[in-house]
Amino acid sequence: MSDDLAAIRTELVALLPRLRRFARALTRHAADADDVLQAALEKALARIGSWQPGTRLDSWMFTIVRNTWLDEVRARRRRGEVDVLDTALATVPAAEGSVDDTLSVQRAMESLPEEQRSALLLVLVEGLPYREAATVLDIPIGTLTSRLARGREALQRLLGGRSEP
Amino acid sequence: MSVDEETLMRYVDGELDAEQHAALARRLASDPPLAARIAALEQQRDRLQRAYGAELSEPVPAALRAVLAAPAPAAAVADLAQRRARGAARARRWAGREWAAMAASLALGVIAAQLWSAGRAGPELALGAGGLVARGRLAAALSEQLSGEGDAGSGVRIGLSYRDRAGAFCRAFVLQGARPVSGAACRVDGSWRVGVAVASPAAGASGELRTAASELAPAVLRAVSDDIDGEPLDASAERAGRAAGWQVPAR
Repeated sequence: MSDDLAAIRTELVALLPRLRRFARALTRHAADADDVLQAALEKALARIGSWQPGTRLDSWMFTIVRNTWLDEVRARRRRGEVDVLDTALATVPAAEGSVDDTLSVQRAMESLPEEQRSALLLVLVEGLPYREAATVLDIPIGTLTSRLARGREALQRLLGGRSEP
Repeated sequence: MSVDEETLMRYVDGELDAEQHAALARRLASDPPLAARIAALEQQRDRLQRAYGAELSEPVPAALRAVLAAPAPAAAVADLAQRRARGAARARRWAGREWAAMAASLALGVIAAQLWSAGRAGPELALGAGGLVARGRLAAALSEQLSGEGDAGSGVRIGLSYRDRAGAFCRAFVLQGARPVSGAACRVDGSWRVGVAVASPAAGASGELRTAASELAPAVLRAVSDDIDGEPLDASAERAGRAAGWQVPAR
């Protein structure tokens, strides 16, 4: 069992860059992202037994990261803090001579509702199959599909077809 | 027969079964408009992947690795607020801050460009080595004005004052004008570093007088709420800060 645990820890270490990227895009705040990820890792280790071997460890972790963040958002709402979940960020126009496509794309993603952003991140960025992504988000596959479609449309509206490498 | 958008999306995402996939692939050769729609979806996906690709090669903070290296599962500390209260995260937060500062300076470049293009950067904001820095009447108001005072002819209102997590004095402000700019600046190394600045849409048509705080853009409020350490300064703490030239008292 302890060997298994060691193996899972090693896998988790390998997943850290992806988990961190997901947490950042989700929370839209680098310091929050690291706090959320740290809490999520602690939770994962504390209930490592609930991960089923044979299922994807990355999906399991994405689920925990997102739930940790949603819990945090709820806690902040209860404390009456500024709502950070779907608050529109500084609207920086994507085009208008912007030099950095990375920044434009990330800003556009940040302006999407969390549910569309998460769907796009999991499927298009992380490459999860629809079924896995739907499980992470705890929604039916049809709901995932429509969130993906709406998210893609919104991105297209925000960014247009321009695509500089 | 037209193909609906969802089918195209599933095609691009590899979610069609082999037979459907092959059938659609065959059609593409003789249907340029269809091929173009597919290409657009693929382009969007590739662009998204590129935009998030670089982050994978960033070093992961040691604190995150340390969680996984801990000998036993850490005691369940689920609530972030609880953990923040412990103050154990001090060192880690600094690592986070470095990244946050980097991300902020990237974002600031765009914001600065936006402000300039809106003709609002003017003499009040300058892009220095450490990012966007307050100048002119904005810098003067940040140094001199108290938050309750109104704009006192300076064209700047101070919304609130606070200490950030690094301990610096910070002030949220609104630069009045046809297109007001709201933001927050912190006193670092003798200048007011503007961590966030947002050009508002044209001033409210109602023309009614609002409080300075209500004019702070949501993004600014959010940034303040992320960075604030404790409560906003009260009037006496604010005066004390001003008297000390906004220098952080030695601990």
